[in-house]
Amino acid sequence: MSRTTPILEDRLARYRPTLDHAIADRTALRSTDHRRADFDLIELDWQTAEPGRSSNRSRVLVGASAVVLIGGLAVVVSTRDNPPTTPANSPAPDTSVVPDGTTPTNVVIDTTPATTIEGSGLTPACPPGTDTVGTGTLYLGGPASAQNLAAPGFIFSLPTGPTAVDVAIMAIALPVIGQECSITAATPNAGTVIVTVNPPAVPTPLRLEVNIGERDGIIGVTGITGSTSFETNRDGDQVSLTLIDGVPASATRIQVRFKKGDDVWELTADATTGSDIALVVPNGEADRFPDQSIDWVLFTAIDANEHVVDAGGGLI
Amino acid sequence: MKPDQAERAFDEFVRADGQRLRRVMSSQYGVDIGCESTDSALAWAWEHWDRLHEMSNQAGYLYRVAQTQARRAVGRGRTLTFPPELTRGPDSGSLIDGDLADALRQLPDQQRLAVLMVHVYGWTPIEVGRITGTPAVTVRSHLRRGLRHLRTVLSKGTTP
Repeated sequence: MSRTTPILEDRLARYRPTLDHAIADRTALRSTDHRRADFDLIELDWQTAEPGRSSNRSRVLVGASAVVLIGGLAVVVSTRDNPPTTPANSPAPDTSVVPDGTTPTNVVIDTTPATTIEGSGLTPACPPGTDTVGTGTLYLGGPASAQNLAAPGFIFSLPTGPTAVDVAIMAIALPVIGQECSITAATPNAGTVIVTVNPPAVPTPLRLEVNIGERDGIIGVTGITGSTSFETNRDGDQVSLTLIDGVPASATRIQVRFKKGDDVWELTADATTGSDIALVVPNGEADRFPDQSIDWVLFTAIDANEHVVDAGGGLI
Repeated sequence: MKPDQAERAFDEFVRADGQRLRRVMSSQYGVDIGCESTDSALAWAWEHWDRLHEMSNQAGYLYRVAQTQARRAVGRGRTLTFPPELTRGPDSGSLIDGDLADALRQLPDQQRLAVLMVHVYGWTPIEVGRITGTPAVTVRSHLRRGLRHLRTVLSKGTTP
């Protein structure tokens, strides 16, 4: 046996804490919730559109990567006090909501699964002067954690139910959630949630209405509407999306995502109203679920600076 | 399965197998891709829990789900990330960055998985094979080749 064998094996054995530490860091096991301290976090990182990124790309995302289901697992974190009044993206962090290892006093952790979205909150302020939304983590329901935007100090919780949560995630998380950025939500009436977000990357705050409804006996998000009115049409197996009106003038293209089977596909279309956007698997790609219909569609309107200026979509 | 039962079963599964899967995926594809793909796989697991909880080898199935995600990430050119190895310098005093992480990146992923899971985490080849669906003899082969490959790479470096 080579003389170096024990040295290498020793090195590997000594590497364990280093590797484990890196994994723990990446997993962000910094939960402030002692009840869930031993819970392995499920987190999704959403990379927003970056300037210069190919606009006509089409790619398959593993459906699961776009989906976090909450169901009965939901641990709803909600502030019952008045929401922080710090302006969105204020350079001064609101320390009351910084996940600093202690549970903020203005937060009530309610383990009862929610059926409505409620409350509002701010994550620590966005770094001033930045011009990209960056990467954020949205974990709707589930265990509270420092990486969970539904964590102490931040309110965003969706109704239970396995359908359409992915729609909400894709619609809200992708365009607007930025790490350490802000979002507010309110429920002006039953079944409707107004989500207002002010990430620095979007000069004009998005305003999206999240519609809650029941489908197949499950309450969940059924649609999201911004300024753009739209309709989906089904003709046999063919489904198309038509933007009717209200597309922001600054929009230069429309990014469309739709879910078919376990895959989420992405298309790019012109930001013109009236034309049908066929929701078909892009050329050159294999439809792994030819017998399945499209579950949902989401579109985002992108401006010349790669900012998301509107979004919409829903179950089909 | 009732929602609360599903929650408990899923919690238990994540506690028991989530970290194991995270280590497996991080060993094979690096920490960033490994953790991301594990997170996605766990999200997928929750969505398909009714189906998954009936399976005899849940972790093994989820490994395949995570692997699909990880391979796509690698296919898109993502870099495999491993933390720097901190080791003692020639004077046995200060800590320096060893070249183990770089050497690991040069291994084929199956060899890297076998080497790290066996020699870092103390798994047996049978345990590695159970989650990856690979015969233990194949894992041993990956392990043997991986160690040989690693020694070759490291012998060309600056650290012993």
